[in-house]
Amino acid sequence: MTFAQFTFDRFGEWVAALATLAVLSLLWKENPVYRVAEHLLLGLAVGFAFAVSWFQFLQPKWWDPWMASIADREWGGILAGASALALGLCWYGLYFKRTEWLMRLVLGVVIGASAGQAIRNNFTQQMPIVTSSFKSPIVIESGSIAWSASLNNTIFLLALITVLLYFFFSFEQTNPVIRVGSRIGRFWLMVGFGAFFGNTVMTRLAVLIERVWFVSQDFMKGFSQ
Amino acid sequence: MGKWLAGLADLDVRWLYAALLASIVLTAYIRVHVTIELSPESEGFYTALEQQDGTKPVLLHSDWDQGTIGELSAQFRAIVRHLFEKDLRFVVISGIPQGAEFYEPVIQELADEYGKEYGRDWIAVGYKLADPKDIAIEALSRDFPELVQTDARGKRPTEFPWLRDVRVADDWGLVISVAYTEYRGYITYFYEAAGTPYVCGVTAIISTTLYPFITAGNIKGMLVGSRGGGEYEQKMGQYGFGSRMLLGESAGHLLLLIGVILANVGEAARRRRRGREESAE
Repeated sequence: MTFAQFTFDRFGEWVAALATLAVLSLLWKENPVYRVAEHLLLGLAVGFAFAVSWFQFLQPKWWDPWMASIADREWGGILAGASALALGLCWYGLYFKRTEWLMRLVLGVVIGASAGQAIRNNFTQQMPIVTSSFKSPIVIESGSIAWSASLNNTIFLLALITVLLYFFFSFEQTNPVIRVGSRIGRFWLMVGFGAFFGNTVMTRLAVLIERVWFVSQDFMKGFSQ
Repeated sequence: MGKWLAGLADLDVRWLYAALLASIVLTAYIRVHVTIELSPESEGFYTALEQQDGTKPVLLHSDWDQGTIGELSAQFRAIVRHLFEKDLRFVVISGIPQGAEFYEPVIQELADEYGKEYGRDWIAVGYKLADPKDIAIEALSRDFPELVQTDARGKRPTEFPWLRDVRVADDWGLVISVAYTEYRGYITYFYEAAGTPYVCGVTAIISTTLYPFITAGNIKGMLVGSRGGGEYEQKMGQYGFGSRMLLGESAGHLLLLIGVILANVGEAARRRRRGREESAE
């Protein structure tokens, strides 16, 4: 390796490649290099998030308007800024037994707002899904039966009903129709979980591929130049 | 043979890791052209964008970063290319602090390629959607200029002529999010409340839960992981990172399948061997 291959321009690439190899070293076994990389990543992420939150969020939306209000002696703005600070500080009441109730105040507001939104979301997001599942097993298109759409809907309805049967816990499943239906429902659930797992593998693999290609191609390219 | 097969079940998993890494490295150097067509969910995404006539701007929510670059960067690149090709003006917004570090270079590179100009064809407002996302999206749907205050260069959105009248959810032509997961707030506050269509680019791991939304029609289209990126990229006439990822994914999946088969063969051989040993005793 020559000094030219380790110039300041490529410093970022070197750090990225070494950090990637350090993280991947866990595949061999648990080791201090991996630990260092893990802590470095978490520390950098928290530090970066704090700096960006301040400069892009808190400073322009709270600190600057508050300071401007103080300079102009505009009491509405001063009070609004102070209230936001007081409410924000309430979260830290969690760390002391005597001030824990302060945190509950703001937590109550957040939970209340979220619960209100969840009720609305259930109607706007889930109801269209429920209504779209009411499908006819016989689909008529231009006066005749559309066989492929009908078969599709029939399979869908069978899956829907049998999966619902599987989650019927109100009484013991002694009836043979319910019992067999419930078993078929379990089969459909396994198909669903299989799709979940396949997609999970796909996502994890994509992360690995990007990193491996970075080290084996992009980073190594620098040595051939 | 039986002993060898039974030993497969006890194979050190590090050999599999090594094989996986080797297969991925290999695909980086293999030049095989993988052709892929748009899937129905990607077609929905493409159509939603094609249906835009440019009278209203597009809201592009970009939340991909290093952790999702493998799956989402190709999607994002293809979407921006489509927006530029159709002369659709857009606003990029982010819900993660590091969002701008990733979307800016991609947009700038494509803007140079298409001769587009910041302020005239697009603006970026940076990290303006903090958690909880639903509450931030609700605020965005009520008053866009009030929520964002300024763009990434310190100008108010109302200073751009094409954004002067953009305020509520109805003033947008389309909402696109490219993120690890979808943001259902857009369904509630943009699609259901104002009829503004919503499409999303997500990681594969999340996509399984979203198909009911596609069927119901409250998400108009979806790009799924690296497959979605590859599909959209090829639809836009490109063959880049998204398409090459398909080869890497295929190699990885093939190896995993072989691993699963070998492990099962090994386990079956071990059971048979154990049964024989027990009957001999």
